[in-house]
Amino acid sequence: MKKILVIDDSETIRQQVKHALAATGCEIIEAVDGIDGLEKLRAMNDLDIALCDVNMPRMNGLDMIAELQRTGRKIPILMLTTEGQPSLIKRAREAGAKGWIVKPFKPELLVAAVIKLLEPRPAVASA
Amino acid sequence: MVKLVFRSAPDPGPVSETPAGLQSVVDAAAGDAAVELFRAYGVTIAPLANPGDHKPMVDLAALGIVRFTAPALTGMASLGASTDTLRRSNGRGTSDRDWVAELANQFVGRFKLKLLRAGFELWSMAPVTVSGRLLATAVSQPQFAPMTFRDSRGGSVCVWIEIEVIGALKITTPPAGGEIPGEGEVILF
Repeated sequence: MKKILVIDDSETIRQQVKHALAATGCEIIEAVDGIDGLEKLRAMNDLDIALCDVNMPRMNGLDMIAELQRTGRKIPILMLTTEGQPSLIKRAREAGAKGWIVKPFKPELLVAAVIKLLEPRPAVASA
Repeated sequence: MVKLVFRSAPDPGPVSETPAGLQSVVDAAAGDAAVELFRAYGVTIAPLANPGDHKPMVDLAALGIVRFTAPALTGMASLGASTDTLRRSNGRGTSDRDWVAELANQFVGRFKLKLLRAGFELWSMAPVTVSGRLLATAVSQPQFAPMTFRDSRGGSVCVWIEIEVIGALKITTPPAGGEIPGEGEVILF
């Protein structure tokens, strides 16, 4: 069973995401801010993907994924946020995020994006 | 109406001039953001035809407050709703405090994106929530007039935005239309 980490300081958003992703059969793990998210990402090696808010107390999402990049932890991360500034999107991409969704999300698009990112990546042939 | 306050910077510098149309831009952005936000969650609201018809909210479930800043600018937005309106917009049945904070967050997000398309870039922070009961007296003052919206069942949504411009307001060239995502849009890198 795939495991999805949802990092958002809003319990309502975490429940909305959980409801939207219920049909995928994935297990949903919750984190309440960037620090909590980072701790769970470090502790749980079997997480398959993370959805991450930007504006959160203690540590925001962009700082969290930058810190994660520094540790070398590889996991697809989708930002799920009210923000839409091109500079922030660029920053997330450069820190290793795989996508950006502006709230409120459309459940069918969220599911499609998660499924896409959970697809096994083809092996790169060596020269 | 969004409350705009202009004052001179402490150091010698140009006094801010009100960019033409700024008041109408921020008023339209705030009004549209509120209507679109609640529509996204299944609740139709409409602005009061006559803002003078605003009456103090007696059933203010909770208030979400977001601070935002930009070079030469600081501001805050508050969003409050009556209990029934708030709960009808929340399909998950979670706490009023949590949901109004998220609504305030999403309201400011929409507001910011509309202003970004007009060349004003704002930066915001995580929202805080205050119980409506604690502010009932303050927001009942006749001179504390928010932007008020009504839904079809007589419930209310109120939005207060105050922006203080200190010195020269920076207006940038808006990003190209395609660079700014819309609400609900998914971008995979």
